[in-house]
Amino acid sequence: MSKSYLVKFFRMASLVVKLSFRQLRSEKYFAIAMTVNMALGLIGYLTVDGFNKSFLREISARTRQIAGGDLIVSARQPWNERHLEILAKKIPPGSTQAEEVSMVSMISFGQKSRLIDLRFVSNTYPLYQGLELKDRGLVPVGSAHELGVNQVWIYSELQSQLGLEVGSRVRVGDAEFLVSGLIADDPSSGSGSFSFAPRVYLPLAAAQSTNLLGVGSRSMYILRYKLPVGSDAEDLLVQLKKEFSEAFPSEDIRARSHAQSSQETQRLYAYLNDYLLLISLVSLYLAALGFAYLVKSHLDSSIVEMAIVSSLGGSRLISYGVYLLQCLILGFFAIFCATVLAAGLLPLLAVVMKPFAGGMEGLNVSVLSGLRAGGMCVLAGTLLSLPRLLKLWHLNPSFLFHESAQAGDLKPSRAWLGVIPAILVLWLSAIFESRSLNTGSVFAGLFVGLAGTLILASIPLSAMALRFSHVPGYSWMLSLSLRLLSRSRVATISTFVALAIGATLINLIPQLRSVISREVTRPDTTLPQLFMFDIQDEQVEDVRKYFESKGARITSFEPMVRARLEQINNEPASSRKMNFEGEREEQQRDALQSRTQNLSFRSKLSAAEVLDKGEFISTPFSGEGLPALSIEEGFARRVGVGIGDRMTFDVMGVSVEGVVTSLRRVRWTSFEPNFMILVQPGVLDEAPKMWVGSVSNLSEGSLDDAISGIVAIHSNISVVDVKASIKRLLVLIDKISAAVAVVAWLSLLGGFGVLFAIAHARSSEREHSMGLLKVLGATPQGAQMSALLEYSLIAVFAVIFGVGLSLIISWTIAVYILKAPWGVLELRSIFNGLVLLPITVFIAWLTTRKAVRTDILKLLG
Amino acid sequence: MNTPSKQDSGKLHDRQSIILMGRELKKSWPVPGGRLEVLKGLDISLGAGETLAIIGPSGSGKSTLLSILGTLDRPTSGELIIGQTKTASLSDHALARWRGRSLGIVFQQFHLMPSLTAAENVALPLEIAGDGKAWDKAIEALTEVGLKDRSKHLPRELSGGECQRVAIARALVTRPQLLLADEPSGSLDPHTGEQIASLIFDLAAKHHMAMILVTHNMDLASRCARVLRMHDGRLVES
Repeated sequence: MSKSYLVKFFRMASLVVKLSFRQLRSEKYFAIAMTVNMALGLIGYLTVDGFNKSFLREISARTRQIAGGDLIVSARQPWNERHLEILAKKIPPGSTQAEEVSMVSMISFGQKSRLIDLRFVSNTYPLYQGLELKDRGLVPVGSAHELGVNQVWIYSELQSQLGLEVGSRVRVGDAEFLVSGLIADDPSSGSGSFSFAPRVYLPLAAAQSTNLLGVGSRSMYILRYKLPVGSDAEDLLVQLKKEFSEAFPSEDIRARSHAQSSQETQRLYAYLNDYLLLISLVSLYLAALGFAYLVKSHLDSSIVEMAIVSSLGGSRLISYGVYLLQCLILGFFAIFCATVLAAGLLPLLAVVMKPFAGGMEGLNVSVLSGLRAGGMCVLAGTLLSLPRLLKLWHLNPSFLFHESAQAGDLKPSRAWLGVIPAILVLWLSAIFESRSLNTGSVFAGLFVGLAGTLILASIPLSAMALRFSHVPGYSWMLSLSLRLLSRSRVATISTFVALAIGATLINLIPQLRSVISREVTRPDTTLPQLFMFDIQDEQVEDVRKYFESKGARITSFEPMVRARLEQINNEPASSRKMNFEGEREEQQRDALQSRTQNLSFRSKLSAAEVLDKGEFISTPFSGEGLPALSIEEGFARRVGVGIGDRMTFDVMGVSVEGVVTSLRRVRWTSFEPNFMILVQPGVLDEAPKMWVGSVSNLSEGSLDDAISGIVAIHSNISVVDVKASIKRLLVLIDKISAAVAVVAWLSLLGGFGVLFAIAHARSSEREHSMGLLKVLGATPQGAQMSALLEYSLIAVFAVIFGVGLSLIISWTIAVYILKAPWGVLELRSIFNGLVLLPITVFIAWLTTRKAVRTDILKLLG
Repeated sequence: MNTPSKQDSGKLHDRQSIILMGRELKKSWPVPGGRLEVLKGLDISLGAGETLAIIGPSGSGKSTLLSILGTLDRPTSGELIIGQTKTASLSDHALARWRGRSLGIVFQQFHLMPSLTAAENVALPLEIAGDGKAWDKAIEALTEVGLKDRSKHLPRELSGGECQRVAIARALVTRPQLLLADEPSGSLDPHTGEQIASLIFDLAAKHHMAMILVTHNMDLASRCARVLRMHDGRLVES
C-alpha cells in the first residue's frame, strides 16, 4: 500500500471516529436506548451461560471425585476370573482398586421401610476425597474400613423419613446394621440435594449377610481404579473396551473414563441446562429485534447528515464506518453492563439450580460468551436492517435540495430483505447452543412461527385500532393513542411481538407444570398405592397371600425377563443407524444400545396401553414361524423398527427372535408395570424371570405397615410408595419450573429492553407531539396519558395474545406430545401475564417523563 | 378585571374592543454573571379583528414575545390579559385548556403530527376540547383552506404549502379570538408563501379574528394594520 493510500485511510478513519463520537454525543438517547436494549437482552443469556460454564469448570475439576476414580468398569453380573484376568493384564501396576456393588433395595427401621440406593463398598473406598459425613467432615481416602462389618452410612434425608439417628439399628435385607454416620455431601450422587432413593453405604464384606445378591437380583458390579500419575486413562479405556467386546460380545460390560462417568452423573442438569440456554436465547433474539428498530430509527434521523457528508465529498464508506464503530462502542459498553449485572444475578440462578447442580462456588460470567452473544445480536440486528443499510449505499444527496429534505421511504418489498438471513443466524445459533440439529431447528422454528403469528395478528389489530379511533365519544387521548398505534406500525409491531413472546413464555411454564402435575397425579384415574419389583418366581404366591390377608387388591402382577437386543432384521443392533443426531442424542443411542431390555408377556393390553398399529397377538405361541412382538411406539421410532421387522434378543444366552406385529402407546405415568417390548405368550414362560406388581385398596394408615411387612417376609423385594414418590416428583417438577421460570423472566428482560429501546427511540417524536398537544390545549398530564395509553394498549393486547398462544401451545403439547389431559386450571396462569401491564406502563412513564417536560418554545424554532 | 386604559406604542383602542393587552412585560434568564433581559417592560395591546405585524432582527426577542403572547411561556413580570382573562391567574392546567379554545398558532415549520392525517391533525384541538363535532368542523376547515380532497393524507404525502394550509386550518378550527403566526411563509417558496399569506389574511378577516404576525418579510408585514419593531426588548412604531 503506498504512503498516500495510508494517509487517506488514516484521515478517513480519524473522520469516522470523530463523526461517530459527535453523533453519539448529540444523539444520546439513541446511545442509551441501544445500550439498555442490548444489555437487557444479554443479561438472561449471560447468566445462564455463566452458570453453565462455572458448573462445567467445577465438575471438570472434580470429575475424579464425582466419578469416584480415574477409570470405571461396570457389569450386570458378578466379576469372574476371565474378567479379572483382562483387567489385571491391562490395569497398570501401582493402581488402586475399589470394588462396589450397587442395587435398589429397602431399608427398615421400626415399622417404616424406604426404597434405597444400596452401595456395598470395599475397604479402599473412596479413591478420591469428597464424601462428607455430618459432624465428622470429609471421609479420608480409603477409609471405608472404618465402617465396621455391621455398620452403615446413610443419606441424612433418611434421618427424617424414618425417624432414626446415629446409633439406630436398621435392617437391610436379612441383616441388621448400626447407623454410624449421616452423609451430608456425596459428589458422586449427581443430583444435588434431590434423589428418589437415598443412598446407603455398607461394607462389601456385609453383602453376603444381607442375602440380596442372589440369583435374579438387579445389581451393578463396579470396579473403580485410581491410576498411577502419568497413566493414559483414555488409551486404557479404548483397550479395555476392545478386549471386553471381543471376549464377551454378549455381556453388558461398560468401561468409562472419569470425564464420561461424571457427565452421565450430571445428566439431569445437562438436559435442563440445554433448554434453559435455549430459552435465554429468546432474550438475545428480542434484543436483535430492538437493535434493528433502533438502527432504523437512527439511520432515518441521521440520513440527512450522511447526505451532507456525501455532498461534501465524503466516501460512502464513512457512513458505514460510522455505523460499525458506533455498534462496536455501544456493543462493548452493553456487554460490559450485561456482564456486571449477570454476575449479580448468578447467585439467584445458583439457588434455583441447586437441586440439579448442587452447591456451587466460584460463579462467574464469561466475557467471551458476552462477545459472542453481543456479536450475534449485532449481526442479526444488522441483517434485519440490511435494506436500510443498502439504501445508504445508493444514497443520492440531491434530495437535500428538495423542500422537505427527506430521503424517501423504503419500498415495503425491500424492507423484508434482511429477514431471511437474520432467521438463518437465529437458527444456527440455536443449533450451536443446543448442540443438536433437531432441538435447535425445532426451537428456532417455534420462535419464528410464534413471532410470525404475532406479526400477522398485529396487522388486523392495527387496522382495527384505526377504525376504533374514529368512534365518536372516545376521549381524545384514547383516539390519539389508537391512531398513533396504527400509524407507527413498525414500532407497534416490534413492541407487541417482544412483549407477547415474553407473555407467552411466562404463561407457558406454569401451564406445562400444571399439565405435567395432572398427568402424574391423574385425579381422574385410580393410581395404585404400592409398586413392587424384584419379586422372584417362588415369592409370587407369598406376596399374593400377604396382600389378600391385608384386604388389599393386587392390581397387576407382570413377569419381567431380562434380555439384550442383539439384532434387528439380522443386522447387529450395535451397528444399526438409529434416529438420533447430535452429541446429546449420540449419548442416548449408546445408552440404548448397551442397555439391557426388560421383556414381558401378557394376554391382553393393560389399561394404560392403546394399540397404535398392527395386531396384538394374545394367543400362546404355537411354535410355528416367529413369535409376535408388540413394541412401544416411541421405542420403535428410536431404534427404527416397524410392523414386520424382526428383532433378536439374547435371553440368558438363548437367542429369541420375534417379528413386530403391533405398536402400542403406553401411558408411563400410570405407575402400573409397563414394558417397551411384549413377547407373545408361551415363549418366555420358562425363562428366568422376576415379577413386578402394583397394589391398591390399602387404608392410608396401613401403608407403612404393609411395606415393612412384605420386606420382613422377603427382604429382597423393593416397594415404592406411589403417593410419596409422586409427591417427590412434584417437588422436582416445581424445582424445574422455578428454574425455567427464572430464566423466562430473564428473557422477558429482553422484551422490556425492546420496549425501552422503542419508547426511547421515539422520544424525540414524542417531545414534538407532546409540545404540540400542549399548544393545542392539552394539559401535560393529558399529553402523557395519551402516550401511556398507547403503550398500555400494546401491553394489553400482547398479554391477551401471549396468554392465548401459551394456552394453544400447552394444549398442543399436552394432547399431542405428552398425550395428557388439559384442563381449565391452566387458565389460572393468565394472572402471570397481567404483571406485564404495570411494568410496561412504568417503562412508558419513564421514557415519556422527559417529553412531558419538553419546552414547547422549541416549536417556535 | 383590570381594564386596559393605556395605549401601547402610541395606539389607543376602544376599551370594549381590546382583545389583548400586555403591560410592563419582562422576560429574563439567568446567565453567568447576571441575567439576560430579553423583554424589558414591553407594552402591547390589540383590538378585536385588528392585525399587527412585529418585525425585528434575529435575536431581538420576537419569538420570546410570541411565546408569552401565545401563553406558551410566562413573563418574568408584567401583566397579560387576553379577552377577559388575566393569564397570570390561571394554573398551567387551566391555561392549557383556555389556550386550546382561545388561541390559534401557526408555526413556521408547520408542526403537524406526522402520524395523523390532515383531517385528524385539524380535528385534534377540538377533540382535546371535547367537541363532539370535531370531525365535521375539521372537514369544514380543510374545505376553507382548499384541502378537502387531501383530508386523508399524511403530512409526508403533502407539499410544504399544503402542510401549512393544514396548520392554518388547525389554528382556525376552534374559531379563536386571536391568531398568532410565526413566519408562516418562511419555509415556503415566494409564490406559495404569497398564497399562504393571502389565505391567512382572508380567513382572519372573514372570521373577524385579531392576528399578530411575526415576520422578517416587510411586504407581508405591510399587509397588517399596524407594524411594530422589536428594539432593545421593547416595541416601537416602525
